[in-house]
Amino acid sequence: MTAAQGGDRGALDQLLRRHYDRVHAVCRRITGHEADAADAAQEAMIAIVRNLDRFDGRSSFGTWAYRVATNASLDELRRRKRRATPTPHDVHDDDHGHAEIADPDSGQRIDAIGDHMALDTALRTLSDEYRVPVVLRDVADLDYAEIAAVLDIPSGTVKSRIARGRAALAKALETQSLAEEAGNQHPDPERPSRAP
Amino acid sequence: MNEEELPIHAELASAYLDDDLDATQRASVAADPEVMVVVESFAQVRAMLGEVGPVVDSTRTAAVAAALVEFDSLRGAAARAPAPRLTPVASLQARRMRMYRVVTGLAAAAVVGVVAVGVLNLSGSDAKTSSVALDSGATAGTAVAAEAPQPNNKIAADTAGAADATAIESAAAAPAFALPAIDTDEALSQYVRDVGTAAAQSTAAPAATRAPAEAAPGGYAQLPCLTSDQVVIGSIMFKGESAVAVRDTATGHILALDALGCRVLTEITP
Repeated sequence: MTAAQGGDRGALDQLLRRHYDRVHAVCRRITGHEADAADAAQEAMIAIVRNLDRFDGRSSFGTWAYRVATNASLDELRRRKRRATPTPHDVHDDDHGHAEIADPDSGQRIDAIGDHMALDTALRTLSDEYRVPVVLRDVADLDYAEIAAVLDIPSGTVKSRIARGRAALAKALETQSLAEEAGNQHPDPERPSRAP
Repeated sequence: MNEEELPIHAELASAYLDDDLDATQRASVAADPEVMVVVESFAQVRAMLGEVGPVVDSTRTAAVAAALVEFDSLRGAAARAPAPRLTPVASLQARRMRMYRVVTGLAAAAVVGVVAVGVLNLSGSDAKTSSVALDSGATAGTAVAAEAPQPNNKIAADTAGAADATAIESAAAAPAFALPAIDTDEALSQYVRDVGTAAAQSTAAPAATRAPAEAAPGGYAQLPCLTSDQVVIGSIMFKGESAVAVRDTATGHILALDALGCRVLTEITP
């Protein structure tokens, strides 16, 4: 980190690569869309470089990077507010064609895609103020104090929003699962069931 | 979502999942099956959120590359920004080197001029009017040697031109203090004209002649009798005395001053 701040390009390269995947994961869950996540993660990387001098080490670099990623994701959402809801085909493309018919594991992968879609749909039902704390907790693994610092809200508020967000997500997923079951009166016997 | 939508036990279950309860509360939650059902549902949510999937290498590489391009751009801008501050540092060294070359080269040029005058005078019909000559045993080269290494060398400082390699080499072996011997006002005028001509051929000369204190640091510029308009042309032996030839740029007067006491040995009006 210090070397990167000192202008060491190689050190910066390593630093960015080391944190990219987690940054991308945060962006993916906040934006709910692969392409948006890629754009947001790239914007986050660039923003990290631009603001590297301002990182004062009071928090960990990861926490700071997640803050940058969160802002980049929310910016991306604002920019693409009018984007149409992804279709199953979009998700298929995002996951790089995992659902090939000839693939013997295609059934499980289609289920995974279904899970992704269900989760993305559930996440979209949450407002930013609930979705972001949950993502920072469950994806970025930040503690309450770190999330409070990232979002600049009290720690108690973070705790409450996470609880509400999780409850809302659990409810949305349960509702979708029930709807799916209702719509599948004659389930395909070749397709393994997802949840126990 | 509002307060009414918060399921019962949600905060407790969430805190349990995050290990944010003390031992007593934790034991209480663990003993309550209803709360544990909520904990389990939250744990499933967490697991699903964490299943983002692997990042495509090309996506990562593209993002990092874009960031490094930004880094390079910022560094490039930063490197350009302090350039005005760095340039004088490099320029100063270059200037010093150039000054050294100018000193040696122009000393040679000036002495060549003096020698030429002397030779012309000596070769003339009236040998007695030859008032400019080198000290016995001194050659043009020795004159250069006397001038070039001296810190007080105003000729070198005031004049500029291409270095005469031969003269410089001769200078290296020359005895010190071999100054042009000038015995008459006319010879002094001629000497000043010759040196002035050599100086005029140099692009560096104007700046030097306008700033004698700078041009002859630690030397003649420290003579208390010099005014800001008076430019030291060079050190000479005037009528057997160690002197400096001075030109007053304001009045055009040419003077020979005692090098030690500033006494005016002669003053020639134009």
